[in-house]
Amino acid sequence: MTHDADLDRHHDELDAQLHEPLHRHLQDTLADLRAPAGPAALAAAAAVGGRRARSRRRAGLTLAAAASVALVGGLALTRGGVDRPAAPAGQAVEQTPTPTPGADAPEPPAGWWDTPSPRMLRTLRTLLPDDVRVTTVLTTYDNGDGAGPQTAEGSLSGVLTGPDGPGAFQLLLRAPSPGDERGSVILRDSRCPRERLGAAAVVTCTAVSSPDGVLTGRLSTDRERGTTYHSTELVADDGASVYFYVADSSGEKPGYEEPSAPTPPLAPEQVLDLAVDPVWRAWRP
Amino acid sequence: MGGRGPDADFTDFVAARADRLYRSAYLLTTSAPAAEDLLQTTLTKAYVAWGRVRAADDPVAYVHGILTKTFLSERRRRSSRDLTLAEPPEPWHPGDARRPPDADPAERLALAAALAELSPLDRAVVVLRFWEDLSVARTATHLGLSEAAVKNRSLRALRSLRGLLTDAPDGTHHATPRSTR
Repeated sequence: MTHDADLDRHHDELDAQLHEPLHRHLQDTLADLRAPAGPAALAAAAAVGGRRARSRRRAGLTLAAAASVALVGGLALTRGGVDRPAAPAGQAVEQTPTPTPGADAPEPPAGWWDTPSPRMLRTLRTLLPDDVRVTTVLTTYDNGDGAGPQTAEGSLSGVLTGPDGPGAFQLLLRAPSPGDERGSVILRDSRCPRERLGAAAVVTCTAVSSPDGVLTGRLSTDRERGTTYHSTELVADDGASVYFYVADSSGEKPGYEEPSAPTPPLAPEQVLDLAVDPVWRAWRP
Repeated sequence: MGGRGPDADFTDFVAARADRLYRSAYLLTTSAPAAEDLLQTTLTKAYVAWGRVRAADDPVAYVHGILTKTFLSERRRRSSRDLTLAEPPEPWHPGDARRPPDADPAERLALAAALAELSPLDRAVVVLRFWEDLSVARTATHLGLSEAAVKNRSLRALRSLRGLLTDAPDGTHHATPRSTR
């Protein structure tokens, strides 16, 4: 009997015996399992994230951050130093779903937010402290549409390793979208207080702004599903924004892995100093 | 689909299919947080491609295909076995008419633990063959595999998962939880 005939026989015998019982078992076991977020919240989040991806064609890495929502205040900052009136730590609250705007958002113009991810990586390496390295990096995304990996623009993610251990990072340059829903979400994401979904909790949220008015935003520390992370969202005067996230876990997203370090590889001040650097806004298409 | 506009259609689709998609995501990822994220990513991609979804012969299958492809393309995901075992059971919804009388949250954890032993592609075969009940040929088409490869993976999966199933004296198959670690 040939190998294929053997495979067919073994497969057909076992399939005849177990296919239906396994199918029933899966149905019964999962019958009461429901999506944690309600359909309205899911659809709203998908529309906001989808509009961003549709407009900027950065599906893979950007979609990973689509569900995050945050909120803010304001603080003078100077290069190398930040004044920081502390905002009270927030409690986890229910997120209000974002209303879905019209389906056809206009394409934003090309700009520094389209910086190719390999260039972002070279820039990041020059800005990191001497004792922190990029040890894992993702500069491509795959939309699952059969086109294969594409070079990302305006997005970079991976793992940083500092003296105390590794932690995931994500750096996003978001295109401007003033006046539409996406722009409103980015604006809310750059302010304190910071609303968090479900079990996520805000540890600190501090408003920041540059004296010349070029950048406004927030710097915060959150704890979500066992992962502690520092993040900042800074909106520039052209409406585009810089988002930088560093965690104490190497998992792609909060909660995916146990903490791999006692604290994220960068302190909050370091996260902010890196994100405000004008080099991120220097690239021209 | 209705003619009320794409966003309304999309919202209706999500309302009708979210739970089913979430269950598929749970089987693939074996982790509730990862399933939630996979579901949201899938729905976002479906929104981007909504014109194609609406025009497809089978919009539901199209979106389930996005979910499976997205799962397989995320290559930096590590085994979720430990995370699954650390999670508390999913809450039961009192009065849920769909809940079978003998459903047990521990069974779900046992199922997730058993699936976590399989490779991502083997899990995808399980979801398509035994959850969505597709044929070998359709599963092969969805995953870009030969039919022989699907049979091979199905065989492996059945041998691995049959410990979840036991025969009752009357011939009825009942599930028993495997020991978890």
